[in-house]
Amino acid sequence: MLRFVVRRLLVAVPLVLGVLTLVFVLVETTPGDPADLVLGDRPVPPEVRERIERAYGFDRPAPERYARWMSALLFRGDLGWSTSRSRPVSQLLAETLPATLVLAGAALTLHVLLGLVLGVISAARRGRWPDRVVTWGSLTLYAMPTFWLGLMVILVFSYGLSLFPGSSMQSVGAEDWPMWRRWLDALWHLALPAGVLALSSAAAMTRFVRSGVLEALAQEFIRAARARGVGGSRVLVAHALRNALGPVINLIGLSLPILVSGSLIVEVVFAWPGMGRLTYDAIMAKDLSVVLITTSMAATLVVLGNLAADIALAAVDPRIRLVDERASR
Amino acid sequence: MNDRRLVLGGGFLVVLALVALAAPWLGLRDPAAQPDTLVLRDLPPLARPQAVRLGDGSLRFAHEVRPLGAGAVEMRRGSTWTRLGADQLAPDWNVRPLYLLGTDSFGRDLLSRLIHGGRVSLLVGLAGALIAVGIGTLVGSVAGFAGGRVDALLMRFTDVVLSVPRLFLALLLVALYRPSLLTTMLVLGGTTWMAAARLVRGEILSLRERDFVHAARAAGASPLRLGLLHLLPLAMVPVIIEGTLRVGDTILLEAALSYLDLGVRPPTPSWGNLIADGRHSLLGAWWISTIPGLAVAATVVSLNFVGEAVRDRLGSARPLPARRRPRPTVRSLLLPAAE
Repeated sequence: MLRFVVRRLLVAVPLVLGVLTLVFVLVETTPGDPADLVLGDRPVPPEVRERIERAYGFDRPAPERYARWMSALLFRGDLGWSTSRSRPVSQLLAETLPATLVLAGAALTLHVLLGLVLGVISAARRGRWPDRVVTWGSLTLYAMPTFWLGLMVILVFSYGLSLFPGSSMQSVGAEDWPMWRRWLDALWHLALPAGVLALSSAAAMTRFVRSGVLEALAQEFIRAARARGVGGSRVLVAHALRNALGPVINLIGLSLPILVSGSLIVEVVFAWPGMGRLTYDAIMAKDLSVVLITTSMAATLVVLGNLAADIALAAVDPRIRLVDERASR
Repeated sequence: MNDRRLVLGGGFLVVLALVALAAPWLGLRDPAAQPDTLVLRDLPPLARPQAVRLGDGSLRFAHEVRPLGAGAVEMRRGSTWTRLGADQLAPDWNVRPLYLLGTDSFGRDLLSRLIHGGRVSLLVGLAGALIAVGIGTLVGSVAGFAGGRVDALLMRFTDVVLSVPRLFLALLLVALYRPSLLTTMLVLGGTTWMAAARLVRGEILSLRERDFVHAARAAGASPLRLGLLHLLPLAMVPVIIEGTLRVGDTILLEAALSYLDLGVRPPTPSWGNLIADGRHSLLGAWWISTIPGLAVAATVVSLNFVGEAVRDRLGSARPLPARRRPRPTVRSLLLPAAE
């Protein structure tokens, strides 16, 4: 198992470095003078421009800047300076990343739960109305733009029914409340954005669980279990679903990029103070040093998530480790 | 099931394509025209605002019109009353034009904007998917043919791009280049080609070992001829299916970019722009955002229906999970038939 984890790490680390390089190259190959991005449209005397170029290192050749940026990032944990907010990027990230992790984590949990429950119901009632409702519902939800679904949910649950708040992460004045009340308040604010994010990505999971359970149901061991007198719902959950779990874990890893992308737009729609919103604001302010870091961070989250999914998969299913070992020889 | 998906999805898409292509000849109002922002703003679907036709055939919109006798009328816009003499009016002056889907906050006709926006969204979706499939085919086939180091390098590169969440990558690219219709297409294509690349590579790797390829090689076919004439055409089937499914994804991504003000530039309407137009008047005028979103959803569902129906007939486009599907051996009477 340890060898498996180490081998996966050896894949994940270059991937993250590759992402950092890719992002740097993309920014580097942009036409135009980088100093213009800092200065905006303001007319400045040439000596000021020169000073800015020197301060940001724009006067150095690209490979040198790449080496400096990477070594500062990796060895000193220096993420750079945000020009639009005049603060270190690391501070901005530290403030916004927890909010994104809370949102994405809640959405991921909901997404898996929804997928498992609806998928099993759908498989158990194959071809009948619950199956049709779930199948059509998930197809429709999958086809809806996430931000539009967010707007509709705000329209109905926030404006129409006044059940949930449609923006921000806490109520006004919540700082003075006792801890338990602030937690409840945060959950209350979390409901809509996490729900939207989970709904828009649960379709693939539902269909996958459904086909996995159906596939397992068609096998001999299920018949054997039924012959032994194991009840219907127990066969479904303990036998069929359990055998479909491997691919499901795999899919959780695959759906991470969708969740992280989705969290960006959900954060913008719901004014959720996370990394996605930070990225968006930085893009609108042309603050590239922030965008570089948040984009790399988003990719790192995905890589780490996939790593976790791989390890969980190998823990659940020893065959994976064997196949992996053989493939690497 | 297959046929129903094809009929429903395909039928909707054909109608949509015809409407989009024929838009200039459908007698729609100008999608950018703002004839009267005061009277026409935020009209709900099926609204028939009051208008007065003048002698020269032009329309004047009003909140209220009352006849004054001797053929003259008085019309009110806001709190101002204007007198119109009988000589200024057309004989059939009292008209109430129909706004089927209502208007937006600038008093623009939403039906016209929906159809013209659809033209743009479909164009971006198709072009983005084509670019994605093109890049993907190029990368995948080079990797598949060349093998060895080139293959490893290209595939690691694909992995790297794949691990950056799409929206982040697309936003970064749009931020670096100026947003426009063309950059939107290029960015969407440039951030979604990875699935096609993996697909083509896999196809070519498996096709390479087939007998007819060995035969062609033995007959002296050059590598180029082998690739272009024997392998690529066969590898195209799953690519076409992937492309169909990709169009829907691209339309969704375009909508997201446009909503974030980083896609198609207003005043050019696109479905994403239309949804964005209504976001600030959600409470007072829900239809402005709701209707274009429904159009996106219906289009993407249809595209996915068609793509999946075709895929189920021609074989699998998206690679199956690593575990092979075991074939059911005995059909039990106790169990539902395996799919």
